[in-house]
Amino acid sequence: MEGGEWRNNIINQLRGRNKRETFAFQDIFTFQSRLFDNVNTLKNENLQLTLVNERIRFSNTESVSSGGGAVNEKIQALEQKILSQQEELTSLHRRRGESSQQIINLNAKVHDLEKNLQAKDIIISENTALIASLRAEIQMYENNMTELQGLNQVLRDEHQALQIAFAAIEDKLRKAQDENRSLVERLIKYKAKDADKMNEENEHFLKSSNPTAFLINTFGRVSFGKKSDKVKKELEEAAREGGSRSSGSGGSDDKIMDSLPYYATSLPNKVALRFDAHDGEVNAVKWSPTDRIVATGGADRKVKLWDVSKLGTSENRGTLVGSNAGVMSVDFDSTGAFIVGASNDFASRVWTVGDQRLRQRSSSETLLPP
Amino acid sequence: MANDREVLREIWDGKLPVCFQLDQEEIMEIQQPDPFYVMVPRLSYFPLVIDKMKRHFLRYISQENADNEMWMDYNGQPLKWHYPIGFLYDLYCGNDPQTPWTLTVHFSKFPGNILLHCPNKDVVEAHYMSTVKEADVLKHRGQIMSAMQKKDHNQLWLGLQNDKFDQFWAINRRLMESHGDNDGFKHIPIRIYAEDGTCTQRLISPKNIDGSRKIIQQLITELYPEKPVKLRTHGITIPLDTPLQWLSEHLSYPDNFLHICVC
Repeated sequence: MEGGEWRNNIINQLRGRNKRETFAFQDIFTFQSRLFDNVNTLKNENLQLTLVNERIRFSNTESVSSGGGAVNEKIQALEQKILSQQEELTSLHRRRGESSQQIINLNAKVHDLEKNLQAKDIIISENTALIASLRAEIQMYENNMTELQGLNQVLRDEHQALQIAFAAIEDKLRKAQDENRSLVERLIKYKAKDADKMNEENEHFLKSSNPTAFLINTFGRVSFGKKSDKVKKELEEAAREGGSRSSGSGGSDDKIMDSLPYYATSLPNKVALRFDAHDGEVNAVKWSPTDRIVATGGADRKVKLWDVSKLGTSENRGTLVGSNAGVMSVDFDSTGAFIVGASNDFASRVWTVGDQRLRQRSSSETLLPP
Repeated sequence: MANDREVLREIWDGKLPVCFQLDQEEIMEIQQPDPFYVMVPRLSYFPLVIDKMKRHFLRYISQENADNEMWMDYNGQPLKWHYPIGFLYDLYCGNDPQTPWTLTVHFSKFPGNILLHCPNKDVVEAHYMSTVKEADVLKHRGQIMSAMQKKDHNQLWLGLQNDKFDQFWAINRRLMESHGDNDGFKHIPIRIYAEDGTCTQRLISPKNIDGSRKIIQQLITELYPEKPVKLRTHGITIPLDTPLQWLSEHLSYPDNFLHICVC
């Protein structure tokens, strides 16, 4: 801490100052301010007391000024009464004022409440209107819904009816298809028959193209079926008799005529159908005894079946394989179900015509001497 | 560092006995108002201590003047409320001590050309804070005040307003510290008033050119080379060998300025 003469000087001066200015007056001023406050309060009190005093004196002078005696007392009592009555009156007045104030307040409240009520009424009416409109809407939507449901029902019914109709039509269609199929089958059968007949006629025609057999043929053509055969035979016999009769002039001719059975033969002079059956030479050909099928055997080690039922065309019905060398000969059995082929590989093979499969193989190696 | 608590406490405790009297022309009552006696702190400002006095006198004046701004004079000199009370006493009664100090209270004819208007205590606070800031700018280039928080400023003001020594000095001691590596303030915030109230404020360094501490004697020869004067503050005459730095730290008013009267 710094110190020195000047500091002590300052401290002393300050102390002196405070002593002079502050401490000398501190107590007096505190006391003064307390007194000041006291005076103020007392003044106020005094004022109030004066007022009270004044009032009392006023009432006293009033009471003193009235006359004496019993009348006085009476009057006094009456006055007292009046006074009390007046007081009561004033209190009643006050109360009335209060109650009127209350009434006003309540009225205001009632007014407010009425206003509130009105506002609420308005709101309620608005809401009822809203409800009514909403209800109408609901009604409308319900109507719509029932309508739509009716519509839906109708559509469903229609749909059902259409389905039933559809089923019936489908049935009809199936029946018609069945009928159609049977008709087609029948048509095919008739066609086949027609074709047979045509073939037969063809054959007959071919036979009749031989000049010698022409007559017979013409006759044969006239007479139908087995009858024609019979007639044919009779005619042949008659011809033979006539021939033998006429052969009397030339012995060699007779011989020839005798030695030759009287069969009508004809040489094919026109190619009805031509097709390439095999690669290489065709070694064997055979008619099926039952169907209009021709079996051919060729050097290409195959047996082939040809359908020639349609005029002018040939259709390959199948190729029977299995031979190891060229097929030299083929033949059907009597039912036309099997076919046998002889091959250069020292073996014969049997196939079925139906499924065109190799059924039997008999090697000739065992048959031939070594 | 302002660490001489004894001196600080003595200065803080300094109070003045003041007697307020209402101007005779403004009395509107038959009864004469009593004068109002009160002890006021030397470091405080008039607007902070006259509430009760004003209430007392309001009863005796005409109603039309009741809302007017109150002002005071001493011997016809209007008192400026923005100076500390102790300084005003030193200025006007320094040579002729008069206790109690009798002041006249006015409610009309406000001398607007001399006094500042003071509608409420916020104006006093604003003026006080701005003066502290000015002093801080002189001492530390304003760094201490701007580093403080708003609540520190409030504490400083409330400590002064409510006459709380510890509350006030807890903050004020920071303003009195030397800043940085300098020993002492940059400049001394000091205002020197002539007897007629005119103020002189110069940039004054706490040190001489050769770096030694400047004392009052040197300051007086610097400022008044023609005739030797005495300097008074806080009601005392400053010893001539008092260092200027110590003086600023311990004898500054709460606004951090040294208010010194020439006599």
